[in-house]
Amino acid sequence: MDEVRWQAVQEVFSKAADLPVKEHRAVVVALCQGDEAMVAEVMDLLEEDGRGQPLLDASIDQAARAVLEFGPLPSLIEKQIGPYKLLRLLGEGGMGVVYLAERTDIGGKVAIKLLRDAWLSPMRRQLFRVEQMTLAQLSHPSIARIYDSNTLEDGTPWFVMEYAEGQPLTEHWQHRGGSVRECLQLFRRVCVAVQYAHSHAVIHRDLKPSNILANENGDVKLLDFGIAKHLDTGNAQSHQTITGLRMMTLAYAAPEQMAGGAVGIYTDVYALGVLLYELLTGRLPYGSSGLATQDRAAEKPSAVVRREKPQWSAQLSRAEWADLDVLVMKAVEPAVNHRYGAADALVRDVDALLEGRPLEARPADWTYTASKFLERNRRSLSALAAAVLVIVGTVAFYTLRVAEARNAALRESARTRRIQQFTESLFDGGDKEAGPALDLKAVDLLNRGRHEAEGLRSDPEMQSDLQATLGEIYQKLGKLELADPLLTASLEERRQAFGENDPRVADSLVAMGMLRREQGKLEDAEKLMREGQRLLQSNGKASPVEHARAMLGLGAVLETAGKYDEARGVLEKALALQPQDARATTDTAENLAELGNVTFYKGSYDASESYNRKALQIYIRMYGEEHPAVAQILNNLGAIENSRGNYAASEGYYRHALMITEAWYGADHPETAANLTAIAQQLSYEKRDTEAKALLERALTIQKRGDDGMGGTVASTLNQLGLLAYDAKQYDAARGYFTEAMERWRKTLSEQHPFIAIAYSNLGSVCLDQKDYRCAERNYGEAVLRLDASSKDSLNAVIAHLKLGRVLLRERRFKDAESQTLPAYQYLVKHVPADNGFLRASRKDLAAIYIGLRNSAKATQFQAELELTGKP
Amino acid sequence: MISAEGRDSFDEQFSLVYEELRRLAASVLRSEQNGRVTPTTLVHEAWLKLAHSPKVAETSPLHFRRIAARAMRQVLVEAARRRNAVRRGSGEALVTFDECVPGMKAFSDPKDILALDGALDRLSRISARQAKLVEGRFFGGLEVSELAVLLDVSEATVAREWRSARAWLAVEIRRVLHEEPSDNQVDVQAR
Repeated sequence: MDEVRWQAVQEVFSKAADLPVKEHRAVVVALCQGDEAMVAEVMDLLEEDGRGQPLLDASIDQAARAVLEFGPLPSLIEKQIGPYKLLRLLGEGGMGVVYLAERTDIGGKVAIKLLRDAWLSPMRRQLFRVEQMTLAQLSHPSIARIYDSNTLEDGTPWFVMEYAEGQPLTEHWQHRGGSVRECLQLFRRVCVAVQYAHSHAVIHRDLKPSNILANENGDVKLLDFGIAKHLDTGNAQSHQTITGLRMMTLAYAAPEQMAGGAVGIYTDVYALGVLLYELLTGRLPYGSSGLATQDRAAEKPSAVVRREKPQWSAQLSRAEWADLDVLVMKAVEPAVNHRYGAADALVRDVDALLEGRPLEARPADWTYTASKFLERNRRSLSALAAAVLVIVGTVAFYTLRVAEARNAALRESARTRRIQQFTESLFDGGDKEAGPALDLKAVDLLNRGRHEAEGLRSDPEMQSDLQATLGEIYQKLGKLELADPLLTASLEERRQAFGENDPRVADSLVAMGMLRREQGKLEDAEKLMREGQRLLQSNGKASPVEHARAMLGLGAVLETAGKYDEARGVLEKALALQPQDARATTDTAENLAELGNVTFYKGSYDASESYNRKALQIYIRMYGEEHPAVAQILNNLGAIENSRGNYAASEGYYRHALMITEAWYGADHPETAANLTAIAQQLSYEKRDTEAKALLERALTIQKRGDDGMGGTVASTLNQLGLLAYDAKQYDAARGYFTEAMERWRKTLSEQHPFIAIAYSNLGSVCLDQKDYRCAERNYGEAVLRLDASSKDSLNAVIAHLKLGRVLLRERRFKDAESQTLPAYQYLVKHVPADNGFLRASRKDLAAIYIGLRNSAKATQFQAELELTGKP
Repeated sequence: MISAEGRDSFDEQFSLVYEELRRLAASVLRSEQNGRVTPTTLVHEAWLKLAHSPKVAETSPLHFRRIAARAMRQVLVEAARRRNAVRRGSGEALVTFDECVPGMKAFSDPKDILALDGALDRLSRISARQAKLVEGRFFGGLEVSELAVLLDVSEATVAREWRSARAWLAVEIRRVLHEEPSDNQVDVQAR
């Protein structure tokens, strides 16, 4: 028989096979069109089909039985190993075999695990040892602990661990049953144990029902860390191999694990998600093959429950089911960056669901609404706290406040509740359960809110609160021109309603100050901040937290103005007033982050790192590990490592931040773009210009597409592209980028803003390189003008002077050059380390200037200083 | 069918095959409390088999399992061949485990495996895809859905082709076994 004929025979067979047997012959004869041999062949096939093929219909196990030559091996049952007597086989997991054993000396039951075939490869012994070490390191009621270990005479290693009685998790749940809530509580206990392992840098990697036992009380115990991975061991090679060992439990393996990709704590999160799915629905999200494909998306748990366990449906409201769907689907999400990043994030959302709070998983779905309200700027998290509170439901912040000052908290909570009602009304118009319609942009929502606020004249307190909140949100969105009248109106409203000296007026002053800072009007900003502070001092009733907030605002403004020493003093005082340690708030974290910035700009990287790390801890505690605030701190840490020249570490932080941002906002979000530009900057320092350019272009595409009030970030990206082009001596391209960046900054910022000065300065550098000194002088002049106005004593201003001085030097206008370069030098000597590049440049230029001025004494002096500081 | 990718993935695949064989052996032995046996001989053979094949790899787990299926087939076929030889040579009736498992006697003859192996070879000449399908499903325990992905056809096609291949193989196996009925007969009676 050949291929063609087999196809023909097969076709006839398939057509006839499902028909009643007695019709077979007639149909086959008709189909074979006189080919008698074919009729016979097909009839043979049909006969066998009816009879069945016992070998093929049986399982491979039975076939193996027939042929495998099993020689008897002495049983270990009743044997003694050390003080333990083996009682019976408990199971086989991974490479080991586990027996129930009894301690013969002091009694008690234990589980003893032996490595099978230890001789086969060193890798097996290594793995067994790793499991042992892993267990020894973990001490948690839900993780079986290790007691003892040794080796048999033949070299077989063994260890003894706690004997956990119970059933595999899913069986336990099937037998015991219970409500949805009880199911979630059971699941939560598993998550907590996994989270504990993660906090000890251990990833389990093989979570599945048979590795999680539950006893009658619902206590759970994680078993079998046989292929667990230590996050901190660099020994990826040997662990890589192990992934293959467990390909057989495909259903719980995350896609990245199956693809042999990077395995992280999110891999365990996936398995947890599959478990929860199975507990809830009795089935696996992607079937037993575990293959998630585009056309095989998992069915929503609520749908399966409605169909198969209708008695469960009524236990949760529709909204709660919708939340549970979101939670489960986010856990079994095939794409790592859309999945929960950590078990504790999962635990928090399970808690939120049990307590009726909104999920953290939600914001990712509200791409255009809620996420927009959220922190996008490292500086003013607290300014937006009310909105964050409303939308994300982070009550921790609020609870802490209650502990801080009851009266203030009552006022706060009343306000919060009303704003919440208001915000909900903003989101009205779509399906409430599904959240607002995706195409409803934040700005539209806010416009509606603004009209609503205007209509609240009968309630000035409420109106001013709303105006303040909206103003702050507009500010976050970069709509400064819309924020301005709202914040101004709110300030006036409050002055009239509460009098000049009310802390709420101070609050408004601080908010105005933050706005002015963003507008680049730093003197105004500083004035407003100081006024707010004075007001609080004279009022006398203000709480330490309110004082701290006003000081934090002032510190932030001083920092932006480049008055780092003063800023540091103010921020340190503010920090002393902030709640600390367990009661620390996001204000505390923000305060620490600002101190981190100030010290960073002063070049005190160790101090900066320490502040940032403290801030990071607070943010992680308050928001979890995958919040934008966390990403911001990671970016700061990246900048620190960058400045230290640790480029690999720096890139690591930036990329981690990018991961968080992408997961939170999505790949096409302006925040993601901002992160891409940070990495690009890093890469360009490392002279990896091609990579940097690719990232910047990706960022630029995102930013230009979603350009609603984000003009500033587009400009930053353009500026960086300009710098790359400049480094590559592509001056025309560079000039194009810098000019466009300046135009875009102009649209959102005041004419005096330092960013516009930076654009001028960069254009000046292009001219200088092209030896067009007149052009360079003009551009640097514009830069100097603006920087002196906004931040006279900042490093940026000084650098601009230095550059202007250099142009003048090139033009051989030595006296003019001296007047620019000398003060710059005097500043730098005081403020930067001796080997700073700008300081060296200033010495070099001064030496040349004094040669030009025929002042050989001074020329020699600067030349000598230059040589003293090292490298030519 | 099996292509190269390097030493690391090779080790990985071996581990995989090994664990599969272990699992298999364990399931064979589940009913046996005291007479534990070791499948290391088997594993060693699988190892030698794979180590000598110049090209091994593919990264996806499905391909791993496909390779495992192939290794399993070869190991079982060789075991069957050897065992068959022992029987012919000594006439000794070996104790087999099906004695412990009532109702499982239908296929316990090593010849069946050998007949299947030969038939599969012939099937691969007229339809390579169907031979892969049978190998993956029978020796590798792959699901219909997995086979559909692996072979890049619909699940309906997998089901249809499995059915016709099974009938075809049944015809072939019957023919081969019929040609030398004596040993088979003896064995059946021996039980």
